Amino acid sequence: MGKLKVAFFDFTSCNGCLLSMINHPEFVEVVSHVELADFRLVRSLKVEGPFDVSFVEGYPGDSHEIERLKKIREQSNMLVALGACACTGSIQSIRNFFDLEEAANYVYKGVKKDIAEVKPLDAYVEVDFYLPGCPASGAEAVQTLKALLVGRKPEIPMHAVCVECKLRETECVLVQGIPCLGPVTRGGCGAPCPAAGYFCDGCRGPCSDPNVASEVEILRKLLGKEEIVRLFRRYASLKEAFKEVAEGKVE
Amino acid sequence: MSSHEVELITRVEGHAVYAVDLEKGEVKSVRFAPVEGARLFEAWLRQRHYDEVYFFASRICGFCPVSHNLASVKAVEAALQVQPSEQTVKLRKIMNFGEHLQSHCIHVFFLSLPDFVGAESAFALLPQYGEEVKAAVEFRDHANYLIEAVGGRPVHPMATAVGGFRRLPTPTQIAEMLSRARQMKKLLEKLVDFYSKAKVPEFSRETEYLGLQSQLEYALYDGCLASTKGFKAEVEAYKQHIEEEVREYSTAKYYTREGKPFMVGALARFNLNYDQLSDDAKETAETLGLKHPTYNSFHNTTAQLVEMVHDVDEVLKILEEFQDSGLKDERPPKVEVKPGKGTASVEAPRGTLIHSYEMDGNGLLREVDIVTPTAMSLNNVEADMRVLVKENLNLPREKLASLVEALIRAYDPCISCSVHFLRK
Repeated sequence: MGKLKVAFFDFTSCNGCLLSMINHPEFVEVVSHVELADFRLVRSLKVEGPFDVSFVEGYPGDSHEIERLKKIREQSNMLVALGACACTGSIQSIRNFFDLEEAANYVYKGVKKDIAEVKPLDAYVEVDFYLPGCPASGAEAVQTLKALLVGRKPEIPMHAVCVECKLRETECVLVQGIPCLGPVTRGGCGAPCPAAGYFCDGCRGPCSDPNVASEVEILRKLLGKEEIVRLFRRYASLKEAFKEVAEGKVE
Repeated sequence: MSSHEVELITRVEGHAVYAVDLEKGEVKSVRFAPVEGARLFEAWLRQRHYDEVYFFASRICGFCPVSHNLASVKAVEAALQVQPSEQTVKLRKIMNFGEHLQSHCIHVFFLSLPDFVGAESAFALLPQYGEEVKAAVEFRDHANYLIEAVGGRPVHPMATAVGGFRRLPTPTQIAEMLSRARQMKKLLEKLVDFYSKAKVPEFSRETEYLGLQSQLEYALYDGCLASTKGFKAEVEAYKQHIEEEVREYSTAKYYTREGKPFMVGALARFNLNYDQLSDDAKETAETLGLKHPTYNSFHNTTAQLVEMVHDVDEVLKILEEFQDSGLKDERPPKVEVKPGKGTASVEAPRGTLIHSYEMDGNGLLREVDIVTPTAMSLNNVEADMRVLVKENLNLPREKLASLVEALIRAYDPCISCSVHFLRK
């Protein structure tokens, strides 16, 4: 059996997920065990498909990128969505709540444009594995590569972020009266945000079986309706579990 | 060589294409056009709250999230008339230096240097220069730690707040940062030696070099706008001095000053504020043959390495002070929300970055304008391309294309940042 042929593609994004992956101390070592195909961000050499695995960062931002994504899917045995933009549309999806033409005119003052509505990869193609987060966890990306290298099915947690605050002994911010999406957000990140004095703002999207109604009830004691809607619009307003609140259905 | 157009330029942050049109052996036109999907940040940041926009702002770019985070929080502070404490400013400077150091390190050694030694990527450098590449990786890890210890994590930090920090680094983290900064200082010797193997292409085209300037220091975190042509203005007045222009062929926003291209970034800062560099940084410039001033844009990469020496010297100063006196237990001040306008700037690794907001009485943004360094340098990239192609028309097409790409790469363009760009 030959080496696993892996490609890394980037679409409209900030490149922060690929960077977080490259930043991981084990990345260079792990990648030395694969046949590295396309990786535009760091190398000039282009390797033709098909690919065993393609990691895709970002979302398709215009009609060209949508076509490019479909071609990559055709050439890839497995497609991994890397990061929040690829998994849920991320903060870019806030734009979907604006009139696109007005928004484009605000920035480009009437210049012709080719701008796609913000949608994650699985709105266009089948996605085999998701690595959520803004940015994606470099550790999870490396762990996924390792699993694939030894022929094991990659796995990442589905539990809520709360579990990880408990594990690292971070005092619950909700208890301190700070609004937090930790109870309904997928963990695996290690809960760095509450530990840094911030709160979980939901960048990894919903956890398994989230109790959104109860979360909203708690938030309602701390925030106004509009503030709750803004919070649910941040990263994953397109996900079924968050959709209603993001669209403004809060009592 | 006939007309040449490439798909996507490799080894740069984001997606861009360039084109050179030749007719009867003459350069007819040149273009450098980012084609990243338009993200319309300025549009959707409207109606968002001031206390979240600086976290969204960092998402403009994964390579310089700290710069966007800081320019944004400073613009919010300007609008709310909040004055951050001296300690807050020093901590922010550590984050800012950390970002310059990691970004420069990646650009110099992993993205640009392969061009100057004839390799396709840093991976291709490994067999011959394993030790040196390892030193660069180690250096980058230390730089990331500086951002993480103060900001919470290297990409998209979350410890910043209006007027202060949500959480301060612990004494252990201060000691760890200091120890790592000292290691960085040592690693730099090896890295400067490594870079001296680079053959930076010959080129010269003088332009206006623009950046922040301060009487107090080599300006990165704060200052007024200034240039090598004697221009000086407050940041708030940027719109009166820097003209925005839309071009038919690229539907991109390009910038000029008094109708002419200008350059921002490490080389611009080097040319503008050379006197304020640390002694060791000046010595490094001499070792690397970087004369002041330099009109070779390829030397933007060299200037980044010189800045790395300066930045480590400055970080050491702040950290030694913190190690001696400890941090005061400061909390972010209570903020009184009121309508207002705020404009602020920091030097991102790639050059001057401006965020400008108008806020309503509920603390929601109403107007947003963001001017990124890559956008400001675009016109100058094209002006350089024109001269470079003209001077090298005798080269085989492939070689000339590589040279043009190396020039673009030397600017360290950050396409994600250039939110204004649109595909034709």
